[in-house]
Parts: sequence; structure tokens; C-alpha cells
Amino acid sequence: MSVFLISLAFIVAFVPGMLQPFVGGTKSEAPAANRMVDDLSQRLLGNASEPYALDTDCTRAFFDGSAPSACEFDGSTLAERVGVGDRSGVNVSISGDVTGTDGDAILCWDEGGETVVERDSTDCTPGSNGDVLLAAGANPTASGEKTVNARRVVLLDGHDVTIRVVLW
Amino acid sequence: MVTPSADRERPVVSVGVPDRGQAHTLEGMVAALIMLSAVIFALEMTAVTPLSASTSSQHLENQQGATAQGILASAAETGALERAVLFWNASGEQFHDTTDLGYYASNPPPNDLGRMFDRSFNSRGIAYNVDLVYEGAEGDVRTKELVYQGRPSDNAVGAGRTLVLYDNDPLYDDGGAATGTNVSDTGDYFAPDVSSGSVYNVVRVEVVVWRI
Repeated sequence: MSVFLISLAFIVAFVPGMLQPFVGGTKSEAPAANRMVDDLSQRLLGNASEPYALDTDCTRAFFDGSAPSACEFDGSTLAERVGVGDRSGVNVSISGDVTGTDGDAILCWDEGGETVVERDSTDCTPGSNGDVLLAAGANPTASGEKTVNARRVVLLDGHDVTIRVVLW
Repeated sequence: MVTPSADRERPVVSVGVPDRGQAHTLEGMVAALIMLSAVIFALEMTAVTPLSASTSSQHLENQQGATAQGILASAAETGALERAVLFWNASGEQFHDTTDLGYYASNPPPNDLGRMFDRSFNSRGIAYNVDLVYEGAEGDVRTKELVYQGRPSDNAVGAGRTLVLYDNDPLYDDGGAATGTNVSDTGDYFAPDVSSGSVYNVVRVEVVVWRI
């Protein structure tokens, strides 16, 4: 009897682990993340006639919550703008190496200098002076769920930057 | 004094039965382990799903291909792509600062396009080749290597962008500044002037990306 119970426990403990790669998970999020980042990089933040070249005004407006009529996106929340259901978590950020020295960092629109700077720059004070941090959405690490990310390299304000969508 | 009940507790015929039961149990366990190992082994061989962390992940290939496409589009927008193609040392008859092989290998090209590749690929452990496909003097299609980092793996992806060179496009010096020499002024450029009009040649920049 005890041998039977041990065997049963063994199977219950290990068979789900063996089947795990085939079931559930974040499979459905991967195409959605790709669709969103393609949409953002090729149309929403710029102009569909010039894919991968972002418009600085529309990019700033996307992250500060306004929706000018000249831009392709509308909706009041991030989920509405990128077209994803309320129950999915989504995070959109733009990072790059503007200074050319210390690797990638999240970027920030500096209204005073009318240019993009890195987040740790003294010119970046999000929320005041019209500065906008180019990141939006909840923190993916806080959810504790499996995430899928998709990235594209685009041109913003003369710099090559990476736009990244994390979905969970 | 032996009681009758004590006699019944050790019958002669039951000697050795507990030992055989243990042997059968062990045999069963070993057989079960062998079966399970076989199942695990079989699953391990096929367990490559779209999100498993291997070089053959379709999702990662999509990201790399789209990243290469984005770099080419960004570089074309800023002119960095054209400057990289015209980054030619006319006296040495090769790109500036290459090895004797005539292409960049371990280091990216020392110009804006190279810095873009470096930021997106080199820091992520992704290798890439850049080929320039152009029309040869006899109307044939020729390939010039700009960056060659090895033979691509089976899971490599590619992206390409077409660039038109005109007769009056200048060559660029090793600092990235335009020289006074036009591409049509020198006979040492890798691509010939194939058009009698103002077009010099049409170059397709092809990037092949794979994970290492």
C-alpha cells in the first residue's frame, strides 16, 4: 500500500512538470505583444508611410496621457491605446543610449531642451516643466506572473532607441 | 510450554514469502523508473515550444529579424546606412579600418551604422553578417561582405533594405565626414557605375542575424 502511495505521489509530482512546456503559459501573449510593438513602431507613434521613425510629439503625448488628433492613437488608458483587454497587464517603455557611454537606460523627454535624455539626467524631472518619462504601465516584476516581451529598434529624435512591450 | 496459537504463527510453508514480496516491489519500482526515464527522455527531445529558451525559439527569431529591420530603417532615415556603404578608403580599396580580409569581423564598423548594430546586437550576444548585394559590370549580381562574423546557424533570420547610390554621392573618410571625391570619380569603389544616367548603382544591404 505504501509503495502504491509513493508511486502515486511521484507521478503527481513529476508528470505535470513533464507536460508543462505544452500547456497554457504565455503562449497567447507572444503574438499579442508582437502585434502591439509592431503597431507602436510602425504606425501609432509615427506615420505608417515611414515605419520605424517615431514622431517626437506623438511619442511624448502617448506617454503623458493626452491624445492629439494629429496622432494615430486614441483612448484614455494605456490598455485602450494599444488595444488590449483590461485583464492583461501591459508595460511600454522606450530605452536607449543617448549619451553613448553607459549603456541603455529608460529615456525621458526634456521639454526645456526639446530633446530626449536618459532617465538619470538632471534635465529629467517627470511631472514638472513638461518633462515626460517614456515609460507607461504597471511594473511587470510586481505581478509575479510569466511575462512576454517584444522589442523593436526605432528612430526617435535622431537616436536609435528600443521600444519594448511587456505583456502578462 | 508452547501454546497452540504460537504454533500457528510460524507455519513451515510461509518461510521466505516476505523476502519475495520485497523483491517484487523493488522490481516494480525499477521498472517504473525505467519507463518514466524513457518518457522523460522522449519528451525532452521534442520539447521545443515557441517560448522555450533555445536558439530555435520562433519568438526570439521574430524579435531579432524585426530589430534588424528597425535598425536598417532607422539608419536609412538618418543617412547612416548610405554613409556606411560609402565608408570607402579609395587608396586602400577597402572599407576604412578593416583587416586585410576587406570586411569587419570582430568589431563593428567604426561609424553610425556600426554603433547601432553594437548597441542592439553585440551587447546581447547576437552575431550578424552584413552583405552588400549590387550589380556587377556585366549585369550579374555580386555580393560584397561588409561585416562577416561567421557562418550563420540554422536559426538565423534576415532583413534587407535597398539603397540607391547616385553619381554625385561623396565617399566618406574614416572620421565619417564627406570627402571631395564622388563615388563616380574613383575606379576603386567595389561597385561599378552601371547606369548611364545619374544613378550609380543599386545596393541591397542584407543583414543576417543569429544567436550565439
